[in-house]
Amino acid sequence: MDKKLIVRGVTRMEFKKFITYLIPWFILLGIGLYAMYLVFRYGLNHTNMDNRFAFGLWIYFDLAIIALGAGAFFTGLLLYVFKRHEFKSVINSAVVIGFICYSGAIAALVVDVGQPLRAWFTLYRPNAHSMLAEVTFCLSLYLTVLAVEYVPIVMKNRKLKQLPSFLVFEFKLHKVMPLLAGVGALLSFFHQGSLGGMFGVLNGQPFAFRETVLVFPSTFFLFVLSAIAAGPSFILLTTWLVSKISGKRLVTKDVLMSLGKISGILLIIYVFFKSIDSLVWLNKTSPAVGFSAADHYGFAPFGIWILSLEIILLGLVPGLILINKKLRARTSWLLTGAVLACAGVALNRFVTTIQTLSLPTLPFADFLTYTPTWEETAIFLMVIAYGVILYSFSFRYLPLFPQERELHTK
Amino acid sequence: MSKRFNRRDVMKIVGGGIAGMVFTPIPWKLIDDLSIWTQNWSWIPVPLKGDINYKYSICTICSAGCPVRARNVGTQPVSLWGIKNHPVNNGALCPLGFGGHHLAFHPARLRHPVKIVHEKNKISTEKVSCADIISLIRKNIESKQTPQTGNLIAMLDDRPGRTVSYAYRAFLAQIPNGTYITTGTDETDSMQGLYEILGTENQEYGFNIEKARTIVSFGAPLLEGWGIPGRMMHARKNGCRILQVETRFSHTASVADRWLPVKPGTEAVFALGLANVLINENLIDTDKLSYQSANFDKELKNYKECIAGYTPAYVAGRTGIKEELIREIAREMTTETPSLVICGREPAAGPFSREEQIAIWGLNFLLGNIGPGNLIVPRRSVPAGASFSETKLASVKKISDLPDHSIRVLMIDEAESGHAIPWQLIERKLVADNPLVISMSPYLAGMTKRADYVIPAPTQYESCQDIPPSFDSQTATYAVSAPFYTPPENVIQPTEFLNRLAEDIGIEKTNGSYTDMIKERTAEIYEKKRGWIYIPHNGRLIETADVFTGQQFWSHLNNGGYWIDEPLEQADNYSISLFGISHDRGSFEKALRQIDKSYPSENTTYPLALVPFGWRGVVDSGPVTPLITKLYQETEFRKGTNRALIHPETGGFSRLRDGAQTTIVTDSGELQVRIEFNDSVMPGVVHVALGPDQDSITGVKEVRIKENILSVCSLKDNGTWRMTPARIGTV
Amino acid sequence: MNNRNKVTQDNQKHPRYGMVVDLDKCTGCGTCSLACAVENNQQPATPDMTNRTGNTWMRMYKVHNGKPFPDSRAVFVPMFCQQCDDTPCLYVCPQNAVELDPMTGIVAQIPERCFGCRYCMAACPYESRYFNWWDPVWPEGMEKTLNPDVSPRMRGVVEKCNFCHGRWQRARAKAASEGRRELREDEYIPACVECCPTEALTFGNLDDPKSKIAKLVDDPNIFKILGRLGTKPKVYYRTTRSWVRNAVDRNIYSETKETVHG
Repeated sequence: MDKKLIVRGVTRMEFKKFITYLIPWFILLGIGLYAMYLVFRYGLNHTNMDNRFAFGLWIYFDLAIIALGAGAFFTGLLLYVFKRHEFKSVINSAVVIGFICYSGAIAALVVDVGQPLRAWFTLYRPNAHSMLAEVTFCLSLYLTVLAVEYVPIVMKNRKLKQLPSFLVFEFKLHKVMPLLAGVGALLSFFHQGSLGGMFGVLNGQPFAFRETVLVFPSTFFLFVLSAIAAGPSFILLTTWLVSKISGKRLVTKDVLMSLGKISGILLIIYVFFKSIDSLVWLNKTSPAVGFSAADHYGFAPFGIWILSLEIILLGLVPGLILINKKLRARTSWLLTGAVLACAGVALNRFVTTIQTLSLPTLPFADFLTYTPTWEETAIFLMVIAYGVILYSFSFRYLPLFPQERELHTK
Repeated sequence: MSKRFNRRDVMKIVGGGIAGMVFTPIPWKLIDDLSIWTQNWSWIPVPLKGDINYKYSICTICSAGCPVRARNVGTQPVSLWGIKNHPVNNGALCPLGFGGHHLAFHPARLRHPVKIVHEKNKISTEKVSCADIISLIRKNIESKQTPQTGNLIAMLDDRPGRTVSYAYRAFLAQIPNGTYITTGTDETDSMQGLYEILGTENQEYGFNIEKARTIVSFGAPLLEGWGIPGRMMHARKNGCRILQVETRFSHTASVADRWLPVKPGTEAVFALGLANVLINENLIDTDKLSYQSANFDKELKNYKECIAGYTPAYVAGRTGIKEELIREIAREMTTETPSLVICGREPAAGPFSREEQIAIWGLNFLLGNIGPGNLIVPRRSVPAGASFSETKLASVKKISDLPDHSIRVLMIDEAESGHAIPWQLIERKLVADNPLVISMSPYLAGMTKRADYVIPAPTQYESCQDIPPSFDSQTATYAVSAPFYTPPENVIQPTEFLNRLAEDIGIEKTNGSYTDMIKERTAEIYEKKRGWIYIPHNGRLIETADVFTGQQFWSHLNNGGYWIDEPLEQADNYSISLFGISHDRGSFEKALRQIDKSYPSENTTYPLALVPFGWRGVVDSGPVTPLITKLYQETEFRKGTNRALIHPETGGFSRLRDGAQTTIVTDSGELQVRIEFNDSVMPGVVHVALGPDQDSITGVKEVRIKENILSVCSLKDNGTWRMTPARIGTV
Repeated sequence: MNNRNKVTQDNQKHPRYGMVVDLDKCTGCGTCSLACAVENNQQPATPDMTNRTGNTWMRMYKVHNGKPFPDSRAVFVPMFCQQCDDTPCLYVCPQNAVELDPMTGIVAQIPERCFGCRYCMAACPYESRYFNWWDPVWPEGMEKTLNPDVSPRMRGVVEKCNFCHGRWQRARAKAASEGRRELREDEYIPACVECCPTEALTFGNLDDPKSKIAKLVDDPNIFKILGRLGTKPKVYYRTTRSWVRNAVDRNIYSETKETVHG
């Protein structure tokens, strides 16, 4: 049965070996599920979040994986709308990764809120002013889009393909793909933006608050930019990683290079705007409400180094690496650039969530730190394990990389 | 139409139905209901519903006796409030008072007489009958003890002056070796030094705080609960200045007009330094003072010679307060007048010794504060009531005055003074072999955990209790705390217990119920027809003489009324003795030298000075409202048990980290504490908090005898433990 | 959503309630914290609750002048919902669980609508919002002492000071029964104001020029904590001491932050 499901023309490891490799991930999934039970049954006191650290590991994780998952919509946009056909070879993988990132984020969110059963109130009676309402709408709609995009990939499975009606359905879906890609891009644009906006609008938190540009705070656009800059890098990295682990050539190198190039260009643009934004914030926005740079960067360990690290080492440097054709051509440099780019966006999300909350705004409040509990960590790892498992199965049974077959036969 | 309806069609319909359902309100309604119903677990409380009405009574948590107005649902009080503009306390209520109505439901509540089984560091309880306990006491009373092994049958009462106190004393007077004792750790004890100076035993004095412009407080937590808290708060609001002489940066010290952080144990030296400046700079009104007491000139001459050595320069060296500041303070006391000097004490750090008290109170005499119309005014005592006026009463003794190992049977009345009582203070007076300790307490908490048997007493607002005047009250007052609740079935009123015991050993019982005794007392007050009674319902003061009958007077009192005596115009004649009546100059000087030597200690093993601290009403053994966590655990506004505050430099010396778990080691043992760096602490001093233990807040399933800082403080023979040489160990 | 927040045109002037905290009068007794907890049915702490996970609508801070022994001075700062007119928590709530009541100017938190995302807590610069990390549990029997005017909240929702909304409703019902539409000045005051023994708290209608509070607000020593953030709080603080003002507010732009401890 297993053999019959595997994509025609490629080889996969033995089923037993496959399952053995997945066992640790299933264990993580199990522990995470138990932690989830504890949180649902006894409440969020099982976390180390508190009245000041209202957001913790989970929200940070959500922001980070949603940024990295941006590769899905952005690759789709490039392929279907801008007709960059070289990305056809990674689009399926990108969609699966996108789906994993978004569904994982939503799973973490469901545990994170105090009364998940009431979450649908937002859809029913939203507060139009709230960035979070916007996030909720875009996130749930985009997840639906991703699911619809996922369906044709599933239907390309060797066995499922044999059902005639499925074939017809898949064909029809293909016709609407450009439309879906467009809708997905729009939704993504808004939710990446509103995730950034969520913090940029906090006029009570001078560390997070930013000037308004076209109705939205500047972080709205910076989040979109940084997400689409890091997204291709993440696709690049995962593709390379899967190829390493499976020991197969999955895509031609020029695809990866092209992903890297796009990442690089966008990163440079992002760094430019981020620098302007930081300067405006430190010299105008924040001092206007009585907060100097020292108030934001005067607490160990969050010195000004963290801003320099984010902009220079994890922004400018990978940007320069990736736009340089010679460097890009060498796998080690390409990967270094991609890793730094992803780390940069992850650090940006960390600063936005965690540093904002740890800094005191009340003049007499303390600088606080936070360490997640085992339950928080377990649920975080559970989402990762879920991603690994879902991706592994998809990789085994679905044609994630159309180029693999020809590269294999070569 | 020939096609048959097959399995696939069924599945299609079901599948389609499920998919379509999402677009109907049904699943959403179900989720909504689920989210509502998951809020209704059995442990989620629902407030009572019913008629709202108001009742008046008096809080009995501490000896201040603050009037309260209870908001009730039916008969159940749901909140307590002060009574605005009340003449006794201006309507203030302390945080503990706000939770008074919670105490009846406290998780540490006992509802049956129990025997306490002491295991190692842990206790458990067994139900027993009251009769068992009585027969045990009888056996102990009847058994012939040789004097060496101790034979006292003692009753410990930390709130003397109540009707029940008189009942105890009457009972004890009838049995051989019956002894009535107080711990001498309450605020009244701080007055003893004043009474020694005045040479009066029976004349009570109070303070006219409202008139004071400046108060120099020696360690009194004036703004945190001292005397009747509302009076001091009111005075503060009206601009009364506070100069706080205290080592620790307490809440009072931090908002006082001046904080004078003297080195621990040098408060008396500081007071003598002030006296020295007052006398030598001729800042005192000698004419007025010599008019007040006959022997003044001789006394002053003597005193001046005695304290001649306490020059500002010398005192500055001892106390750490600058010489010029000492002079400035002394002058301020005579310019920002009237100024009152109060000898207080930290609730956890224990009282000052008698000699220190004399040194401090003496300043008041120099300032001319004593006497009717001044700041320290005489007041009448409240009569004990007809039942006790003819009866023989056991005399009041301080526990530290008893010989060690002399108490065979100790009965403890658990009405709290609000101040810390180290268990060693009591333990060292108990006989070594099998002492019998019986606690009459509503709770298994605090000191009761050390007892062998517990008779469950009624708690706040469960029985009629009387309120004698607080020690600081400038006139006699009297009030009755009317009950809101009926006590649980097996709860026994202490007087009822005494009656059963009296019946068992064949001595005279008291007349009638406890309420009757209180009624008799009010009758006697009414008969004098003096003073006023404050009626809380309409906020009016009625002259006692205008109340028609004794019954009516009782009914006013029983509904939250407060009787207030007229000021005493003429006090007993006193002959002043600035060394105290029990001292002459020689012995006073000797005692002073002793005090002066106590800090800094030259002990290199124990280089630090350990001074405990806490909050009145919380540091004693009684339970507190569980909501007190709002000020402790949930905000750390006040420091919880075993938190050790230390100056970072002191900590750096011992290479400690902030927040580290470590031990405090003294001669008496060691204790686990958590270090907290605080640069407002005097270097070289460690302050360890005595907060409410978990049993006293929420009760715990497994009752443990937790060691607190008092167990490692060195307790002196005079019953004080203000400072202990200590060091910080590492774990 | 905003229909709900608009008053019908009834040509009636509605009060705008606010409070003044006199820091020079507060002695840090903590009574307001307890009275608030009793009035608003805040549950006692569970054993593992900390000063970061508690529920203290009225929270006391001890703020130091930053000088070490023996020059230390401290001021007690009661901190609670500042009832901002430009309400940061209201704008961010995705499901309208926060409302600015046009009838009173009070920022209300509606626990039944809240799903506990805690975004509002991140938005509040005053740290005055509290999340129910635990189920509200009282010791057995003690639930009888709950205030019947206020429902206990459920686990997983955010709550905060609402100027004792239960008391406002009570006062309104009483006034209505006497045929009045407007409340007298002393008719409605929150529990903390009622219990404060030094009268450090003053409550009233900021828009009524005759009210005690309106006169107080004109005092030059009045300030708003973090007033420059522009959230327009309706809670004012007062002090005549400059070091207190510096320690409590950020009115002076300083390069070196004075360290203060809570």
